[in-house]
Amino acid sequence: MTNAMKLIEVKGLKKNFGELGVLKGIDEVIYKGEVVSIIGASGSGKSTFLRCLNRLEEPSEGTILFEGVDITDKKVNIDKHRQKIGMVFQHFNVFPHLTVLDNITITPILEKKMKKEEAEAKAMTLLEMIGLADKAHEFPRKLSGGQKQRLAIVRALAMEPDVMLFDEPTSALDPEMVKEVLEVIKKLAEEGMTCVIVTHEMAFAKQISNRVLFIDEGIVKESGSPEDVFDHPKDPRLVEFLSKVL
Amino acid sequence: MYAKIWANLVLLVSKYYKQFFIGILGTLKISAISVIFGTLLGTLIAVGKLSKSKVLNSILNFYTDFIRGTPLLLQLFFFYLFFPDIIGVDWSKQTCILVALCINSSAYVSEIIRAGIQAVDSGQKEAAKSLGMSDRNMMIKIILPQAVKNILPAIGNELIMMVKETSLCSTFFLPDVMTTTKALQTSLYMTVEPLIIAGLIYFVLTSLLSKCVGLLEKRLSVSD
Amino acid sequence: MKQIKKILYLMLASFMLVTTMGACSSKESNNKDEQSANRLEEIINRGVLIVATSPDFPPNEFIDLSKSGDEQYVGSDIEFAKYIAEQLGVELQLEVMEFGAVCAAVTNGKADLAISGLAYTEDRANTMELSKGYNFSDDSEDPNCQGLLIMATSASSYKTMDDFSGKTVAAQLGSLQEQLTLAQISDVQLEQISSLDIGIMSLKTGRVDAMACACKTAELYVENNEDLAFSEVKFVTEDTNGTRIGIMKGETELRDKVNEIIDDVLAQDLYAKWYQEASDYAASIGAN
Repeated sequence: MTNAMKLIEVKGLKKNFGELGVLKGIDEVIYKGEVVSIIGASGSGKSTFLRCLNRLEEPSEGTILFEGVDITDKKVNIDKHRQKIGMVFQHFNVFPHLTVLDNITITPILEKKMKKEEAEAKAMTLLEMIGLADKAHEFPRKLSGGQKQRLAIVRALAMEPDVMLFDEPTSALDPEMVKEVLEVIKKLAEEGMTCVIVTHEMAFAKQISNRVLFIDEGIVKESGSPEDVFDHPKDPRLVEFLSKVL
Repeated sequence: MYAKIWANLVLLVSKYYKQFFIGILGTLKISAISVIFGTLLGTLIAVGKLSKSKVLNSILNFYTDFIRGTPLLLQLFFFYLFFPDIIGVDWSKQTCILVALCINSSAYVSEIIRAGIQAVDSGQKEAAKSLGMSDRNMMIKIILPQAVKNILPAIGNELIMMVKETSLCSTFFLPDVMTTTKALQTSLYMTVEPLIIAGLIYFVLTSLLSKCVGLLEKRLSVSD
Repeated sequence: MKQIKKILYLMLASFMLVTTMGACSSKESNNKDEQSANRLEEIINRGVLIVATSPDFPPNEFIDLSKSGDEQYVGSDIEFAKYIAEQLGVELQLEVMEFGAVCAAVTNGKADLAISGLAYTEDRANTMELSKGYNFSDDSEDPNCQGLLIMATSASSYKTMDDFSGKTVAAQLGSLQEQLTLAQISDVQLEQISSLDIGIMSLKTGRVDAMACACKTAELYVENNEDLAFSEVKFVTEDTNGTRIGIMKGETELRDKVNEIIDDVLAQDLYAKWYQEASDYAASIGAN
């Protein structure tokens, strides 16, 4: 792949929480249009890695180039770059005091100076896509977990990001709701959205990804196509991990 | 003796109800002013406390710790006797006392607001940041509206506290229920009876306010 | 957020600046007005005489609730204050507060004069300029007379000052009565009170056995409370030459002017007249 297609380039990323080193030096490139799944045991550092990509966690060392700009530089306006990096959380984090529609439109209106009518029309299209158009004027407390997570996804999409980060998007869902959320992510991936997904859904990761990263003890222990990683694992820690989860 | 007290109570209520009424209005006015301006100032202090500046943080923390750690009566004396001279203004007694009460209230309210903001789920902050919202918009549109639910009832309770605390103003004869009580004691040579009525008044005032705060709490929790 | 921070910084910075500047210059600011050489001139320039008083001491100063605003503060000292203001050709402004705060208000410069039935004590003379005495009456009543209020039921058991020894006696904090109680009753348990009504209440509820009090004030309380009595036993008072007016230390010009007015009042026998009127007034508004 050529240089021009690099979307995120991570160099020598380290993150310490006090004395504890969580990330111990990660070099990785996410290319445009790629769907990358990140797997690993709890506490391996995979969520921290994801959260460093939009600086929800401040890296202790190293640089992150997003579309060629070093976003670890304290002088960049990180808010502007975050608008291009969508993120979906384990616990949805929808805004409970805003209606479903306002959840989606608030940031485009505030930060992109989009007109209210335009933002709402766009939000309705997104809501139709996930089948929640009839809930537009409800408050999130009326939604199920799966519906909340779908709302969170389109809320991020409304900012027209160049990449979507998913942080264990189905871990907090009841089993019967996992599918509806994975369907939406899958659709996004098929439409060419660059996705980085931290997940425990191995079957899903295998099905959807171009590439799988195995993070263990703060470094990327193995990286490759889903077939390589799941069917021909080389690293002994990965073999051990897969034997537990598959 | 009890018949005498009863007779005096009847006399106080029938003949001096107007003075008590003025006292009640005074108490409510002084408490409301203190809490309203205390809230305005307290909000600024709370925002300062939540900022990342260490210097600002420690100054403001000292401010609230100091005010919450010293008696209100002492503060009243300080603001009456020394404060105007220190900052070089010529305030009336009433202004000095009101400023002292507002400052006192601001320290408590700033803690209420800080705690209310911190009680908002941290995921809300992360979601707003991940969308690229500025700190200012995040605070105003996402965090504060949710924090209000925690903050408003607590400020209501602060008002209830103030209704009682302002009785200390009677040291400086500001018009409130306790000052009325003292005036009645000295001018009518009665002792216990005005106190009984003052006690009832304070109890009714705080009970009514508690009821209002309860209703407010109930209404705010509906939106969860 | 950044803007708010800026504003906050500014507020804080200006507050601190003003505070430190004020602290450095506080010596000068005690004599606030730089054009005035002394407090007396300042009063004349400002056109207002500020008098601190504690209206719980009938008939010298007390409250008439049938009136409102500053008019409700009445008594012989209030009349005197009005007279002084008139003589200086300025308005009178009363600063009403508890007795304990009255002297502080004067030593601090918050008020020009303390007119609140102040008797001469050495401590007061050390911290303030005290005027000449002004409360003299030539009839049988001695304005210096100080005694003890007790319950009517126990009146017979107090025959001499010794009968009060070991008893609990209430006296107003920082007052002459407090000093007399400590000096003249052996083994006394002193109960300091902030105002006389608290003392009366303590007496009525049996928390104290007696309350030290000026005789005239005691009489007014007894007239209006049949369960109280004024003990025959009186304190031995030195001739402290009557009640004084408190003035900030060093303000000798103001003190001399006040003394001049006192001479004038005494010459016309005005204070005795006010005192008599106030006594009748105080007795008339009692509830009983």
